[in-house]
Amino acid sequence: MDDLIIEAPDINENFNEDNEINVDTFAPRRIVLKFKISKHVSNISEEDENNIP
Amino acid sequence: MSQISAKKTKITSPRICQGDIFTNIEIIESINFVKSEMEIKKICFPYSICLNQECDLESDFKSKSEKDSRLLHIAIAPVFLFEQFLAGNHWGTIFTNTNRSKRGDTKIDLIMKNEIPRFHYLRFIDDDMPEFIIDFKHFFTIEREYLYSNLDQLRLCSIDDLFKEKISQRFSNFISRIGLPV
Repeated sequence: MDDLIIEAPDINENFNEDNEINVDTFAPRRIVLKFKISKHVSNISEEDENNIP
Repeated sequence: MSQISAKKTKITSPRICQGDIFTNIEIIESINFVKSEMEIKKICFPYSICLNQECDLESDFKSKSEKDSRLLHIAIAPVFLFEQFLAGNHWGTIFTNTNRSKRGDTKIDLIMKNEIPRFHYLRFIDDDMPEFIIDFKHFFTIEREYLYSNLDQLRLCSIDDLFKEKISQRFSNFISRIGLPV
């Protein structure tokens, strides 16, 4: 996958159930990063490139 | 008043040491691809502690990167604020809350005496440190290079020799316990 360009992430930091940042706690928190893979830059054929979803 | 079970070192080593407490360590939980989207789930731990053996960390520090004495990852366990552990919400939204406990409860009393193998209670002699608790059931690894590259920012403190050896001994006892069928 290292030959793919990845767009800026859509950051969704789930700090609590209401998706609000809870500054009162020092609990572990899950962070979800979503990247959109947008463009291929390696030496692949045009046909293969067209098959990228 | 519970007994002292931790003390900070006065001199901080240039290398990672067993018993070092780190702040804001992020571990990768999963990486998934769905069509043209990549989703990375991370968990950020406000506090965690290094579990590796001291001799392994020392030989890692002295060795060159191509030698197999070099560590790839460092083992860490989550550390929680004891007050938050008592409140039962120390895992945040990762796991559901546990029942609220209070000092003086039989179980909490045993935890504070370090008589329950799963947990290690830390009460520092140092005034600037809160009470912590380590949960040995959960442990992770963090990339060595990342930790060394950010060591100054990530390391909260190092724990003095006797206290960190106690942590290591209790962790190894917990992880090597014989599990009986339920």
